[in-house]
Amino acid sequence: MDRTELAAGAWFHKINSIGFRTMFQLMERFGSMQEAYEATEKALLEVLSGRQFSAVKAAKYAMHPKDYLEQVEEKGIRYICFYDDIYPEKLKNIPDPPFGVFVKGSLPRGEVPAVAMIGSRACSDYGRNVAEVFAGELAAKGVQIISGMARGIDSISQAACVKAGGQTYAVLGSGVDVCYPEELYRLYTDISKSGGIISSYAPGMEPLARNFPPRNRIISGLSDVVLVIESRKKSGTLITVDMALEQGKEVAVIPGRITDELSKGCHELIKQGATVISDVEQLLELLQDICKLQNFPMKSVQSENVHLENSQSENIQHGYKSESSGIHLNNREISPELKSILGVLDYEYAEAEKVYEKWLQQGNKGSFQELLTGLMDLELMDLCKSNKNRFSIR
Amino acid sequence: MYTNIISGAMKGMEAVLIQVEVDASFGLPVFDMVGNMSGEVKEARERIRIALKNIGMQIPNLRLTVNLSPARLRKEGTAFDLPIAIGVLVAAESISAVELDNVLLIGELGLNGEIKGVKGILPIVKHAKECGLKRVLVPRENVKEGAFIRGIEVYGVAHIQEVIDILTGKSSAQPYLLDVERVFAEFHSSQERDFKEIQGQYMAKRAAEIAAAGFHHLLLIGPPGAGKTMIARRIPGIMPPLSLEESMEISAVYSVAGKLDSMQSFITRRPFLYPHHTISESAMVGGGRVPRPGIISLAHRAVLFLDEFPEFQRNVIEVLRQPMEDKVVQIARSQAVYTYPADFMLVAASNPCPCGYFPDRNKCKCTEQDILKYLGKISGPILDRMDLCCEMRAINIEELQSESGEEDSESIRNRVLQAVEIQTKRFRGTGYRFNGDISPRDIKKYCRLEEGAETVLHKLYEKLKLSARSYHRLLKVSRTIADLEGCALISGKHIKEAACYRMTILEELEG
Repeated sequence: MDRTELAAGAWFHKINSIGFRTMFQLMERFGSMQEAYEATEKALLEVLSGRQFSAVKAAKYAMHPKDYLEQVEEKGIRYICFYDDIYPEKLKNIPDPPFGVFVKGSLPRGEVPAVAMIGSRACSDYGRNVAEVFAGELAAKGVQIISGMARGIDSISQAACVKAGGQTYAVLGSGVDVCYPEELYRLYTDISKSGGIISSYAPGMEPLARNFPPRNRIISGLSDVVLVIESRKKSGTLITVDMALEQGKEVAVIPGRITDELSKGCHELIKQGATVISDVEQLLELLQDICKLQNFPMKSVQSENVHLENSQSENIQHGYKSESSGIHLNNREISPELKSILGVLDYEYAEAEKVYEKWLQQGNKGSFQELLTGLMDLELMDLCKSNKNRFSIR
Repeated sequence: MYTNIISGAMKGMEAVLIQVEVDASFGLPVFDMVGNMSGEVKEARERIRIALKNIGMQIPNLRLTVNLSPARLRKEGTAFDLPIAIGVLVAAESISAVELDNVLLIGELGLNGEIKGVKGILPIVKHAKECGLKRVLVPRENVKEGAFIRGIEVYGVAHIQEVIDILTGKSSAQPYLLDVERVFAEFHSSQERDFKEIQGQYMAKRAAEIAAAGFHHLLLIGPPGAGKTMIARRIPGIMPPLSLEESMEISAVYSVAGKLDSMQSFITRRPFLYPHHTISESAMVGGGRVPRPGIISLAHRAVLFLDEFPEFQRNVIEVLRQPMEDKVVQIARSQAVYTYPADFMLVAASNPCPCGYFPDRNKCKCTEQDILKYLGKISGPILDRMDLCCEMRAINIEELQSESGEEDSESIRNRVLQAVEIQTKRFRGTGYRFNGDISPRDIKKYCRLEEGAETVLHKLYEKLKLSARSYHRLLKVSRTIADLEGCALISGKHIKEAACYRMTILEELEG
C-alpha cells in the first residue's frame, strides 16, 4: 500500500474525535485519506462536524502524517489499514470493522484456525487448570490463540500457549505500546515476540474502561471459535460472546458445576444453545468443521514442547484410568497407605483437613500427621500436587 | 542534723538504690530539693508539707535541703515522697529512735498522709535483697509484688503514721508473707481455654503444638470465622507452665510498666497480648520520653498475637525485626539507652485476600493481583523470621455440631513439655533455649538427619523449589517435630510433615 496513504490513515486514526465511521465516510468522499488530508476546509466540513474539523486543524499544525508514521514505526509498531492487502480477512467481515489496527509483532494468519479463549479475571483453580491444558494442547496442534491479555483466564491461556511454543495474539484496550495490566510485562514481551499485540487504538492510548467493549469485538472477530472458560452471570466475557454471535462466530463453553458462581455465565450460554466442550479433541473437531479443513494442519511445533504436552495429557488420561480401573500407576509400586490416600484425592484442590476427613470416613485409621507425610510422599512421586495446603491429583 | 534514707528507682529494667539525704540546719526556713529531678519529684515538697501537717506534724522552721544521690541519674516519678517525708522528720528531730539501717522506703504520699502504689516494686525489692538490705516498706497496694521476693522482710503500709510506728518500734506489724507456690498452683488449675473446644482444624492445631514446643513464630491464614483467634488464644495454655524464674522476669517487666496491682501482683500465667492493628510504633516496642516497656516486652516469654496482620502500619511491623533477632529491644534516648526483654512468640493472623474468602470462588471476587497486593503488605523480612505457616479453611455447620472428641490442651501440653525438656538438655550452656532460636550457622550442628533423610530433604528442596532460608526453616521445624516424638535424629517423615507448614506465601510473593 502507498506509504503516504498509510501515513495519512494512521494520522487520522490518531485523532480522538474521529471515529471509524467518519474515516470510512472520508474515504468515500475523497477516495483516499491522502486526498482527505489535503482537502479544503469547505470540502472537509461536508463530512466533519465543527469539533472534528478543529481537531483536524490542530493536528495538522502539530505533526505531519509522514513524521507520525515514522515515529510509530520507530517503536516497532506497524499500522495496517482496512484497504491494505494484509488486513485480516476475518476482521474485514465483521460489522463495523476498525479502519485500521496497530500491531506490534505479527497478525494472526487467516488460513490457520484461531480460537479466542476468554473468561473471568478472578478465576478458580478449575478454570486455571482447564485454561492451561486447553491452551497448551491447542498450541501444540498449531491453533492460534486470541485473547485480551487480561488478568485471569486470558493471560493464563496466553502464557500457556507461549510456553508450549504456539502463536498467541493479544488484543488490547490500550495502545499497543502500553502494557496493561502492568505486572504482565513479561507475557507482553513474549507475546510480541512469538505472536502479536494488536490494538485499534493509537499508540499511547491509556487503558480506559470504555475502550474494552470495542476491543472484545476484535477478539471475537479475529477468531473462528470463541471458547468461554469461566464467567459470572454479569461479566465482560459475555459482552465478547454477544459480539461473537453478532459476527456469526461459533461460541463454545466449558461447563462447570451448577453451584459455582464462576460457571453461572457459562451455563446461561449453554441454555441459550452454545456448544458444550468437554475435551480438547471435541474442540478440534469443531474447528475442523468450521474451517472446512480436510486434514487439520497440525503443523509440528518444537518437538520438545510437544513432548511436554503429550506427557501432560498422558497424565490426565492416566488419572481417569486410576479412578475407573483401580490403581495402576505406570507399573510403579506404592504402599497400600499411599494408595488409600490417593483414592480420596480429587481433581479439584481440597484442604488437607478435608482429605483427612474423607480418608477417615473410608475406614482408614491414622493420625493427621501420617496423612500429611503421605501426601508429601505422593507429591514427591508426582502423583499429587499441592497449592498452599490444598491437594489434588496431578 | 543530717540523715540518709535508702530508696530505689528504675532505670529501664535495671533497679538502682537511691540515697535520700536530708539536712536540717539553722537559717532561713526554706525547703530545697536537688539531685537531677523531674517535675513530679519536685512536687513532693508540697505533698509532704501538707501531709505532715494533716497528721499533726509541723515542718519546723529550719533550712531543709534534700539531695537524691547519685545525682547524675535522672529521677522520675513519685516514689520518693515517703523517704523524703521520713527524712525530713528525722533530720528535724520530730521523731527519734528510728531504725533506718538496711531499710528501704518507697511510696507516693497523698495530702492526708495516705501511701499510694508506685511502679517497679518487684525489681527494686529484688535488687534491695541482692544489696543485702533487711527490710523494705512498700505501699500496701504493691506488697504482694514485693513479697514475691523471699529472704527480705517486706511490709505493706497504707499510711505515713504506720511507717513512723514501724520505724520507731511502736507497731507490732509483721512482714507480709506470701505462699508463692500455692498461688501458682491455684492459677495453674484454672486453665479456662482448651483446645478441645475447637472442632477440626487439625492442621492449625498441630502447627500451634509445634510452635509452642519449639517457640517458633507462626502465621495463620484463613477466612473470617475459621478460628484463627481461637487457636492463637489457646497457645499459652499448651506452653510449659511458667517457672518461678520466668515469672519473676515477666513480672518485673509488668512492674516497670505499672501493670501490676493488688489484684494481680505478679504474673503466674503466660500472657497473651493482642494489640489492635492501629497500635503505634512506640506502643509496640516501648516509648515515651522515659521509655516504658511496649507490647513486645509485655509479651516476653509469651505470645504476641497480631490479628489482621496486613492491616498493621508498615513501620510498626518493621520495628519488630531487631527484637525478633536479639530477643531484647533497645530504645535510645539522649540520656540513656533503655533495654527491655522481648523474647516473644509472634503469632500473626491474616485473611487470605481483601474480602477474606479466597479460594472459595463463590464468595471471593478478588483478582490474583488483589490477593498478591494484600499479602504483599506483610513485610517480607518478618515472614522470613517466621518458621511455620498454616492455611486454615472455613468450618461448616456439621463440623461445628459434631461431637467428636477433640484432644484437650493438657495432653498436647504433655507432648510439648517432653519436647521442651529435650531442648533444654540439648541447649544447656549454649545460649539457645528453643529450636526456634537456632541461628543458620548452627543448624547443621543441631539438626542431625537420620540416614536416608538427606535424600528426602534433597528431593523436597528441588520439588518445592525452596530458598536457602526456607530450607533452614524447614530443618528447624523438623527438629521440633522430631523432639515431639522424642527422636534424636530427624527422619524423612519429620521433614515431610514440616514441609506442609512451609511459608508458601513467601514463595508466591518472591516467585
